[in-house]
Parts: sequence; structure tokens; C-alpha cells
Amino acid sequence: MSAFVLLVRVDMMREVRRRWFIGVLVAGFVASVMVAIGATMASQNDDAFRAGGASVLLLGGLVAALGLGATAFWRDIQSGALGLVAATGAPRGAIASSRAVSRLVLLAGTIAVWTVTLVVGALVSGLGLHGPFVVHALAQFLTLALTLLATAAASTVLGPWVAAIIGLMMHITAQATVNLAAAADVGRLGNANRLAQVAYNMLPHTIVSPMIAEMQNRDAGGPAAPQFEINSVPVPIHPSTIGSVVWTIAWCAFLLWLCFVGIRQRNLN
Amino acid sequence: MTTAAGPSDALVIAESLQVVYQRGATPAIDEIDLTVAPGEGLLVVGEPGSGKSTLLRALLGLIRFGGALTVLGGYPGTPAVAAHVGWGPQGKGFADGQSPRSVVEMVARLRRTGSDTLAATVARALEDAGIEATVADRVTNDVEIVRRTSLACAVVGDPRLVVLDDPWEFEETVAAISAVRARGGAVVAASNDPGGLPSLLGRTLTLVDGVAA
Repeated sequence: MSAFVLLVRVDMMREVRRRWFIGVLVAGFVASVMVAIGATMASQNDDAFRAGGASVLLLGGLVAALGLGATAFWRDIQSGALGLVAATGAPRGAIASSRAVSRLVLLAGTIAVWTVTLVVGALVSGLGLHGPFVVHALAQFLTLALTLLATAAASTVLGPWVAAIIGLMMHITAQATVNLAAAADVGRLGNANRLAQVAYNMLPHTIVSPMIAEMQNRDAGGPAAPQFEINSVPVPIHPSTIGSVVWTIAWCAFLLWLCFVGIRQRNLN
Repeated sequence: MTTAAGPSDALVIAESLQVVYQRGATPAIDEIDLTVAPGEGLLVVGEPGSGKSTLLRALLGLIRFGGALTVLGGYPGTPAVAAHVGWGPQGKGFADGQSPRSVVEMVARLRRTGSDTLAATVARALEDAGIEATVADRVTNDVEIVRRTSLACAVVGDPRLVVLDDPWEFEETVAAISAVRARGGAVVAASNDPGGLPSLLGRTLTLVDGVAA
């Protein structure tokens, strides 16, 4: 067993027993069941299901991503846990990458549990099989992976709360980048149109699924995707292109590299 | 500080060792010359903040250092060297969320040493550290169990050099240090409350503000 695989396994076994993680997982599961049940009682039950499910994935996923990222490095650097691993001969690259990968796997597992619960709940409730919702869950996972990796990279040098704030700022920035680019596309930003396009070409993007874009544009996205307006005039949001998805994956790779650099450069206890 | 062993035999050789945590700051340790030969023990003592843990972390390759430092004939912390160095960290946070057996097993797997099977190697280390089988699989915050786990991490797989930070003086600690020295290994330990460790380890290095007194 390589050091990387061993460390991924050890970290995952440890983190799945954390009370906060179990709490988030269970809370999201309960919320998913309630969304599925509530959707059967709503008049626009399809929209209610999708908006509710998207909110669970966004809000619950954000808490999970920030928590997993913020606790990836700093706490274990201070406690000596990473020092023990490094002193025993594990390469620093394996330490950094295994931590990031184990956290991403846990996030993917969390999103998968909630998504399966929602889709099965919808099926049982007679709402049918929600393929578009599964695509949305994948899009949401990629955006949350970006948030998690930004938080984890910050946690190589900063405490958990500050790292979580930086991760949240990355999430908000990625969302704002997409919204401002959409506004620039229809010429709503005046002199700042070009600036928004430059930002879009440099900063990471949230991934917008076709389902959520369509709901957002008719103001049916719920808390997860409120309609985007400037001066009370709606701005149409487009689903992410393949190029945008590739760009965000490239940003994830960059943030993973920052985790690697952070652990390689720093002193360990 | 000199020993009877020649440099080629020594497990640790440090010359003008220096650690500076922040550029321009006062060195945490400075001008440390050190040789530890096979079968020797060395106790590093000093007040909190005197540089004891910093010296140990340099030996393990966990921090950047200036001067010359050779551990087991190689650069500290490289996988080939680290595989033969046992590390018993201080405090109890290093085992956070893990049972004693899982921590020691992880160390044994990473070190990839020992002629016994992995399970037997881990079981022997736990026994040598005085951790009963009934508690070895439990995640615990019991500080005594965690300190014993630190000792088990340090001795699992019979490393040639054992480094202990603030070891508790259990009966098993005394036995483990004696066993390592008897088989030709060396032990370097740091403590600000040494108790009976000085006589057990034989030599003492006193640090005052990062400098050998």
C-alpha cells in the first residue's frame, strides 16, 4: 500500500467519525427527505422539489466543503499529527495530496447520499426520475470542490475559521464572476462590461447546470438560485459551457498545487 | 561534545546547527555541535522555549535548518532515513480521532520495517508501551494512553534511532530506552522535567535560549 493510499484511508476513517461531519450528513439527509415529502404536497411539485433539493445541496454542501477544507491541515500541523507522518517518511507531496483527495471523496460521498435520497424520494413520491437534478448535483459538486480546495489551501497557513472565510469568499467570487459576465453579455454594466469579461477570463466560475439556469431565469430557483436582477431588470443566466467546466477544474488543480506547496514549504510540529 | 565513536559510526552528527523560524529573528537554536553514537543516549534539557523540541524536529527533518546535520548517514527526514528513525511526539493531539492501534499501524506501514508481520509488529509495540489489548482499539482522550501511544510509535519496527519529546517516565519507557541502546541503537529525548531520565540516557545537553550551556 503506497503512502498516499494509506493516508487517504486513515484520514477518511478518522473524519467520518467526527461529530460535526455526521451531524451535517444526517441534517442534509433529513432535509432531503423533507424536500421530497414536501414536494408531493406543493402545487408546482416539480419546481418545489428541484428548488428545495438544490438548496439542500448548496447550503449543506457549503457547510461540508468549508468544514472539510478548514480542518484539512492546520489543526493537524499544530497537534503534531502531520509531523508524525512526515517524520515517519511519508513524502510531503503524498501528505498534501492525500488530505485533499480524502476530503474531496468525503464531500462527493455526502453529495451522493443526499442526491440519491432526493432522487429516490422523488421517484417514490411519483415525481419521476430526475435526470436533470443529477446533472445539477454533479455541477454543484464541482463548485463545492473548488470551495473545499481553496479552504484547504488556506488551512496550510491559517487557522480553520480564517481558512473557512477565505473559502467562502472564493465561492462568492466564483458566483459573482458568472453573474457579472452574464450582465456584461447583455451590456448592463456600462463601462464595466469589459472589466467583467476580464474577470471572467481570470477567476474561477461556479458551474451552472441547465436545470438551475432555467429555473433561475423564471424566478423559480428558490434560495439556491434567486433571480439575478440589476435595477429590478432580470439578467438571464446561461448554463455553464464545457470551457467553463474545464476552467474550473484547472482552478481546482491550481488550488491542489497550492496545498502541496503549502505543506512542502512549511515547518511541521 | 565528543564521543568515543568516530564520525563514520555516529548516528547523529550536527555541526553549527542553527534554526531560525523567521528571517531576522533570534535563532531558536544556534551553534549546536552534537554527535550521538550507536548505543548512546542523550537527554536534552532546558526551560520551556529553550529550543529542545526545535532540536528534535531538526533531527527529524520537520523544519529547515542551517549548519550541517547528518542522521544515519543521510539527510534528515528523507524516506530512506526516516524509515529507521522512531518518533514519539509530545502532547496528545497527534493521535486525535484515532485509536492507539490505528496510529501505530499507520507508522509501521509508513516505516515498512521489521521482519515480523505487520500485525505482530504493531502488537509487540503496543505491548512494549504498556497498552493493553482492551484499550488499543478505542479512540481515547486519556492522556496516559496517548503518551503510551507516543512511545509505541517511537519503538515500532525497532528503529535504529529513537527520538522522544517529553516522554512520560513509565516502567515501559525505561525498558524501551534500555532495549534500544542494548541492540546498538541510540535514543535522543527532550524533557523539562527529566526525573530519572538523565541516569538512564547517560549524557545530558542543557539548552539555554537555544544555545548549549
